[in-house]
Amino acid sequence: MSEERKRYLKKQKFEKILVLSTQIVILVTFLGLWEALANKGIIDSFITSSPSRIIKIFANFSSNNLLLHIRVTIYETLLGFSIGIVLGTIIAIILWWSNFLSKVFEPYLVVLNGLPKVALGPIIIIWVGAGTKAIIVMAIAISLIVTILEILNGFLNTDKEIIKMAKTFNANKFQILTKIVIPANISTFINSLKINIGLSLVGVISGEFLISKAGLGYLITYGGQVFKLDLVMSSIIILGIFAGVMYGAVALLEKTIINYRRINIK
Amino acid sequence: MEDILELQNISKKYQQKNGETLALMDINLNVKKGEFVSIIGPSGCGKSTLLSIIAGLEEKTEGKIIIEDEEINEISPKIGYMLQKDCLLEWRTIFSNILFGLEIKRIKNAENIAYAKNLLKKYGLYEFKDKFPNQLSGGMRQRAALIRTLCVKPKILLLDEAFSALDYQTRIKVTEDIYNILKNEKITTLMVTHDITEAISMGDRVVVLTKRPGTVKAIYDINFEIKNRTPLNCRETPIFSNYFNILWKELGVDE
Repeated sequence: MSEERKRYLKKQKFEKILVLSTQIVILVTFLGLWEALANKGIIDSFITSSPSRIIKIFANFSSNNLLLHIRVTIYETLLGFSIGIVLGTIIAIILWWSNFLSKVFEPYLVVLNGLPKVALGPIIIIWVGAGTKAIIVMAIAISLIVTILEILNGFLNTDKEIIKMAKTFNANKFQILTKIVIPANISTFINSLKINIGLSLVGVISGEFLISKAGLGYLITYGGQVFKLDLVMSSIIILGIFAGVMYGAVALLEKTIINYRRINIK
Repeated sequence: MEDILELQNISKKYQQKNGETLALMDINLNVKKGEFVSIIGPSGCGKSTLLSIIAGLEEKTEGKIIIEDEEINEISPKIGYMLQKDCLLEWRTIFSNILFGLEIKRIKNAENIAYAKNLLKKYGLYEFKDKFPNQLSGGMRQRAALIRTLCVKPKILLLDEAFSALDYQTRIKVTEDIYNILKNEKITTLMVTHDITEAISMGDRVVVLTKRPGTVKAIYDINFEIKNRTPLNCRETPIFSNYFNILWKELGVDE
């Protein structure tokens, strides 16, 4: 290896370590400052909570029923997320297939996309009942339209020349869909998965705010009402971790698909 | 030699919001078996439209297309079509890309796969068959695209500006490669190009179209009287520039 190459690699490694250590320093400083200020009474830990108080909540999470609430939120989010993706993809395929339908529904999709779906909350509760179902419907309502628009847009922007090439071999519409349009849009699909993690969480939490029976959203509203800010902060941290884990799962899926393609297409 | 393709009075009208446009008018052309015909014309004269009509991708307004004494009105299995871009599917290996046409036509049987392998070997892509398109050079990609088309055994090949996306050096090389493959496989070819030199160096005849509405303005026989003619060696003959000057005037670029 040449000296220059060694220097280059060293610089690359140094940069990586620098970024990571800065990230850690920011986190530790933030938590340390938070704890110290609360400890010295400069900020009121009754209102701001503090890292040690949050750790205490985690330490005896059985008495807070934390696990139950986490489970409820995860269940609702995963279900809303999956249904949103599957339904959105199916509708996008139908709209791609029929030029007529996509023209007909375009203005409706645009309006529905702009509409704040949380406003539908009371209607959803009245129609499907104030329970888990309503929360899942809320999650779907928030993620569905974006999924349809995102995937349809990807489908419609598939390279026209490649579709023409397939047509020269007399490909039918189903073949164009399965052999060109879908495989060409795997990255579109992964992107909408990533977007949907956040959106279905918004749906679930706002649903739990409204219905207030169980889940982290409920815990946050409850904690806020009785001024148990430790509970609120803990719930938010758990939500952050959950979103991170889901994002990681999608990234893993993306990697797996790329590897699978490289090996298995013959 | 007998005619393999006949175009009789082909016309094409486009219907648009603000009226109709006549793109092609009364095109008549006969192409002999094994012949290489180049088509040139000012941009927008509808030369690519003509190829799309022959390929069955676009409907004609009037006229007849006859292939081997049979009138055709839709996509014909006797016709292969190559576009400007190689259109290789990036998520498939070269071999899988080459079998794409057979797969679509549902004729991916042992015999045709063997034929495809043979073409790969013959034209120097066999050792790259498990590579992905982004691992190949532009010239190799274009060759792979041609083999994909040849796998379905077309009798007539349509080349739609097939080389214009390549850089100059690659283009000269690919032209040479593809010309040899086509002559070797005895494929009748109709090529649309905006490059006069390409039209002369590959064509047995050059058809000049008028500006819109496109119609046949003139047809020139190209004959270099050299043995083993290739696109490259005929560029070196003195007749080459004669043809160039004639066609340049015929296109009327200055007007």
